[in-house]
Amino acid sequence: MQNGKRRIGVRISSNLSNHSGTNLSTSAQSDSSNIVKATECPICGLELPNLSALNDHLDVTHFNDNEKIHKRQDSINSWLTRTLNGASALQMKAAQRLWRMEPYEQNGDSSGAVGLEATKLTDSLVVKNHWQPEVPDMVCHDPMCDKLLNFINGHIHCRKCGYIFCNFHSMYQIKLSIHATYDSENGFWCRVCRECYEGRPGYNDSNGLIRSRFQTFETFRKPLADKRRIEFLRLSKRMKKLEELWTSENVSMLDALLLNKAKRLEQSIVHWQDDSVVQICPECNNSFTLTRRRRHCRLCGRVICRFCVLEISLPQHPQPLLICMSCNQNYFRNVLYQTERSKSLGYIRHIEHLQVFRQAMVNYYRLYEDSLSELLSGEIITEATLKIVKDRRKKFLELCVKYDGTMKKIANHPSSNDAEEQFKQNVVNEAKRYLQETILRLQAIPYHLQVGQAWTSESERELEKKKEQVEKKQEELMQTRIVLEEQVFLVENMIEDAKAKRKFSEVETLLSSLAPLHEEIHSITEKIHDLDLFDI
Amino acid sequence: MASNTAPKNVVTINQKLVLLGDSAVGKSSLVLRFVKDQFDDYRESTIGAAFLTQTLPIDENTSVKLEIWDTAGQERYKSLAPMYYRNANCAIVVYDITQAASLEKAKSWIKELQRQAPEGIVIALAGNKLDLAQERRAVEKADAEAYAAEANLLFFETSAKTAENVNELFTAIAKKLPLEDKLNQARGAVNRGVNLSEARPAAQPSGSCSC
Repeated sequence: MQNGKRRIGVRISSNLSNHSGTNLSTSAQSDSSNIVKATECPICGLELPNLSALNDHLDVTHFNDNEKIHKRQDSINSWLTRTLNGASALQMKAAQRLWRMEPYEQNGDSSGAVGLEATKLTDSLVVKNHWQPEVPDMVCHDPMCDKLLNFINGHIHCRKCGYIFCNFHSMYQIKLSIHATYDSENGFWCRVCRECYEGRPGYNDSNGLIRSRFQTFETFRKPLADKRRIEFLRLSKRMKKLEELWTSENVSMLDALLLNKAKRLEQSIVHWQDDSVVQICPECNNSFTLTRRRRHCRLCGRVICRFCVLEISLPQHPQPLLICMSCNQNYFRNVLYQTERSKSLGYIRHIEHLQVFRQAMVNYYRLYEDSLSELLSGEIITEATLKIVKDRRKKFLELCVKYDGTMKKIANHPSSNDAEEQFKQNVVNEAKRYLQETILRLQAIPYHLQVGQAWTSESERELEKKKEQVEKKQEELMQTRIVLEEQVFLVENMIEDAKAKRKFSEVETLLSSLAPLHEEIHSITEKIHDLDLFDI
Repeated sequence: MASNTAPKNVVTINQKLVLLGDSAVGKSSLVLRFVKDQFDDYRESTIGAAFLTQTLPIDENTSVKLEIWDTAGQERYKSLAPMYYRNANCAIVVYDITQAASLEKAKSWIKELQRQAPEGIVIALAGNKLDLAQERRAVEKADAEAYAAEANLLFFETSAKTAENVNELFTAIAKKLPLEDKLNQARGAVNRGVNLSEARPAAQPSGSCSC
């Protein structure tokens, strides 16, 4: 019997190792009275007469629990797969829908056309001169598709990029402006390729549209905030008076002993609420009794019970000051907040500077761009206008330097903890990103701009052409230089190899062959450099 | 080669040879056959310019050590060729007898050599892949030969695969090289034994530029 019990106990403990709160295994080893007490099924809580009954119960009732859980997991998994499949099929369905010319979205109400028919109507509106010319035997431009473009597979120009696709790969619609650029507000629905569809701004934007509700919030919040501020001001005024109460000349410390006198003094600051008016404490809603005595808050004058009062000791006061909870909240917490806030971190100032600089940079950038475009569109360039442009550019660059300096100051500021470090890092990174972006965008003043020269589109085109040539030349030279450098590398390897094989006569020849290569590289580098100068 | 063991009698003259031609005509294969007597059916295209040497006896007392620069035929490496033919003593321009375009390319190389390379450079025209002549010949031997005669070039049709005419080609070049001056120079240096004042030319008999 003893043996049997122990066996059962051990078995239960192994069965229930996942369930906390059971001490069956230990109890089985101790005495039998404990065992009897503990015969409650730990899974369903059923009371059982003895251990063997519990054992049977576990075997019969809960044996399949694990399997059940597995089954449920399986069903969840299959549900997930089903849903996923459904979701991926959705795209196909959408495409089919479009193909069947069901109402998709229409361009205007008057057209009456639906689906792809509707997109056809817009053809006359959106520019077409960027369209890829049609040649026989073309295949779909989609990199994953090799369908021949013909009547069966279709040959559709993507209205945005202008390449030709098969029917299937041009089954997307986005709104385009008449210049064939994405325009979500005023554009027309046009048929486009997948790349243009997915490449439009905001397609992969997981944040969605961000709409600031701060204005609404602020107007909503303003009355309350104002009320609080007024309350705080009132309380702080009273507090100041209270602090000065015992330091003023006509009050001696002796008066503090006379309770009446003290009370009168304190009452002179705020009117105390009449005791009889208040029956229950406004803070805790308990009625006043002999032990729950009435107290007056020295700041607001309200009656509260003695349990809801805070005692605050002030340096000049003979007695601690009694303050109610709400005044504590309204005044002291606020004071604490204010002091914490005014204790501004050293670099917070710099961050504020960054913002100021940034604003100024934006302004100057715009000014510079405006004046430059004005200069380029204007007929005659005068000394004065050119100077304005130059000045603005210079000013902008100065601002950039300052911005950079401030950014570095922030980065070098020691931080007290990880969170602060992280914060600073983020600020600096963002600043860096902004700076790089703006500098990169900054247009140089064209070097050929000279006083008195008329700026015509012809000369522009000519220069454009020249520039292109220069760039091409430069590209070629770069390529040549790369080839030569590769050869130097190869020859150096050969030299190593020859040395290793002790073929010193070869080493000599190879070494002498390096010299012309180096010379050539040098001369090409100089040429590239010259072209660079020309570019500037 | 036995003469190499008795260096006192043999004078070795270094000569620079450069191989030019369109890509995939078999320049590297020719060199490989000549230097190592090997052939590789699937050779990767050359990168930059490869360097090999081979000594070739001309007569009992003289041998020529060819320093061969095997340039890559691909367009990308076009700028590399002048580095090597600028001070070469001889050049082999290779074309593929199964590709008519490669002969045109070879002609343009020859023109470039005649214009840019040092005077007196020995140029040989080699029509490679002779083993394919039966099935796929695209350039008639007579045409190429006529061109070579007109431009005063050595001409061979070779096959790196079967080794036909490969050694003949290189030997013919070596024989045609104007070696007399150098030979005399070198011989003189050797005959006079130790002569400090003229030690320099003896030390550098190759003096790679012959012009």
